[in-house]
Amino acid sequence: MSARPNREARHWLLRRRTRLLLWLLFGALLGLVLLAGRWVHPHAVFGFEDHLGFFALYGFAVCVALVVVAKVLGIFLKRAEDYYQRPDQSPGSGNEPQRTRDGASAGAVKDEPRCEPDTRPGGPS
Amino acid sequence: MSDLSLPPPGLLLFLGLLLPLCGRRARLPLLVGLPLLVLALIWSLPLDYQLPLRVFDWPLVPLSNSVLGRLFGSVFALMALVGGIYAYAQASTTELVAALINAGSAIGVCFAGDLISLLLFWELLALSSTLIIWSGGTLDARRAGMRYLLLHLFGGVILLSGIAGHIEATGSIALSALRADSGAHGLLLFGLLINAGAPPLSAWVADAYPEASPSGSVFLSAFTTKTAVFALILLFPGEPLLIGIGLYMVGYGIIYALLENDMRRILAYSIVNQVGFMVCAIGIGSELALNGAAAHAFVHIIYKGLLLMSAGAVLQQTGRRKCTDLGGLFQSMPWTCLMGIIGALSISAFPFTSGFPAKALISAAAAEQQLLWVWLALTAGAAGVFLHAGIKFPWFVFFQQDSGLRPPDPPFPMRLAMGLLAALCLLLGGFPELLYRLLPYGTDYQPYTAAHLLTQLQLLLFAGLAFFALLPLMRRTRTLSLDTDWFYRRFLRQLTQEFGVHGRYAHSRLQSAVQARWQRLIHGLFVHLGPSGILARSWPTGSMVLWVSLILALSLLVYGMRG
Repeated sequence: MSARPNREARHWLLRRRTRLLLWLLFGALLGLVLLAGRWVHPHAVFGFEDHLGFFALYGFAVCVALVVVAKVLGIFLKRAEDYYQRPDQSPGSGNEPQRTRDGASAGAVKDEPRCEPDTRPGGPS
Repeated sequence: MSDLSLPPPGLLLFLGLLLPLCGRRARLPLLVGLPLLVLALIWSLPLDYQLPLRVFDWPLVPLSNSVLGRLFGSVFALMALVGGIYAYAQASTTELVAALINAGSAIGVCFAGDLISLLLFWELLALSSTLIIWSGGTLDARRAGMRYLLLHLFGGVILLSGIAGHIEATGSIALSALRADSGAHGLLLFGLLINAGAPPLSAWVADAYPEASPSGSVFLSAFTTKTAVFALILLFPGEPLLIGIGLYMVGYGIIYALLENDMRRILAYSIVNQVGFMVCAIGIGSELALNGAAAHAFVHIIYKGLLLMSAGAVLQQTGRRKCTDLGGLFQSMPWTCLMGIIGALSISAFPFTSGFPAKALISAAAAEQQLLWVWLALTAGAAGVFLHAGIKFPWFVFFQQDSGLRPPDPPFPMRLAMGLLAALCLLLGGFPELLYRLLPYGTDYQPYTAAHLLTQLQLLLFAGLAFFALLPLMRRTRTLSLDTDWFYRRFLRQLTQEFGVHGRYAHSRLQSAVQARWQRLIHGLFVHLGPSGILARSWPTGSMVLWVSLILALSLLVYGMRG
């Protein structure tokens, strides 16, 4: 279990330093496109889209809203992946579809990218 | 040049039926040669060329060239060509034949000059698509193919009813711009929209396409929905209903793709999302908007083909299709990963990829018409595309947590096909005038202004920030999402079972009631006519004589009284 991750698992892109560097670069890029709005003004058709950072804020807010809406709808819409394969039981005998809870399944993938490589026994060789 | 020397270009691909007769060695020349021949024919046709054909007093026009038909026909032939290269090594002969006929039917629709020819190619499209799905070879593929077939035959009947109603009302089979102002035209529109993946029957796209083989889903993604877009541009430009329907599709595609775990189903949902942009643009209906719809369809076929090729390569090399089982593949499949990223950037309309100049036209058209809410929704949709297809697909398949899988890149033909499409994505992104020159209406639109580049980068990069900030909320789960297909996959099934139970009960009740009555009848007969029944028992001779003498005495008496 405590075996050192082998060389291949530590691809240069997965190293902590590279990831930190990528985040810094991404942050700098975000700042740059935001600041550039001070000098470059879109032709405002509706009168509000030339405000500094409108598109940045709108893009971010919309995506947050979409993820949250998807999450809420998921509570009602998600079913186990063999839902349609399961033989139908006789009506009225507990045929209620089972919902799998997020992350409850064994193979649920962790959210955040981990640079720690595979430490499972017998990881990639 | 005589008319007979120029057949409808799509029909040439029907020569694909010769594939099973040819040896394996002739496969590739046929798969590459036929689409090239079609492309050559399309571009040698004079514009406005028509081939009239009189059948049963109907003035059919199976070949009618137009700028729009040429645009769609060319990209369909291109996909048949590159898809053929991608598929030829591992796809079954049935799939390849079906794919060529599929492409041929789609091109047939593009060059159809009347409603009846359009309908014929439309139906062939549904049948050949079903064959492609069935070529997936699994039980799931067989079932999904049957559902696909039933739904599309239903759509075909609706379309046929609409066309019949239109002909009844106008007496004309010519293709002309219509409005959904009568029952017949409503049916016509509904029939077209079913193929476009519009609500309420959007679910078939994500139900059927991911069940095909790796190459099958590449073919499927290119033809059916975009043929519907072509027909909508032709028949319902400027139909206001389409704006709302298109925007719904944009949102539907994003939300369902965010919920999905199967990588090819994510891409299938994003087909609905992208077609939503086109449908909305058709609803706006201005020249700029229709140009945008056509351009978007053109580039979408290419980058969606590329994305599905990259997903298909992963499926073929790993045998896995769920995001929960994948990850970290960039280490051993760098080419597939790079191609997937180029496709993902293109679908997100990242500057200098093909999606950028196409989507810009639609957005500009909404702004030009002062449609504030439509513009806001389209801009939100553009950010959402980056979220669900632009980052989610490559991230969960090629990066995220390492799955430990180390498959190599796919064989050369598959890599080559991906490379060709990726090069096209970059070429059309870098030189949008190549694309704009092919559009139905002349345009001098400039997509690459400093302001447009900046606003698009702001939108996309901050959408990317939202993705990484919200990763904890986007954990992949081994689930599917309920959709309207629940009604025919579960509800109707249970309904028939419910009817079955009640039917069996009613049948047994009726049977026992009839049986009881019958038994009573038999019993009654037995009582009266049985061995001890009153009507069947033997009478003693003495009583016979007594009764006979009594009757004789009575008759004598009666006779005497008369006298």
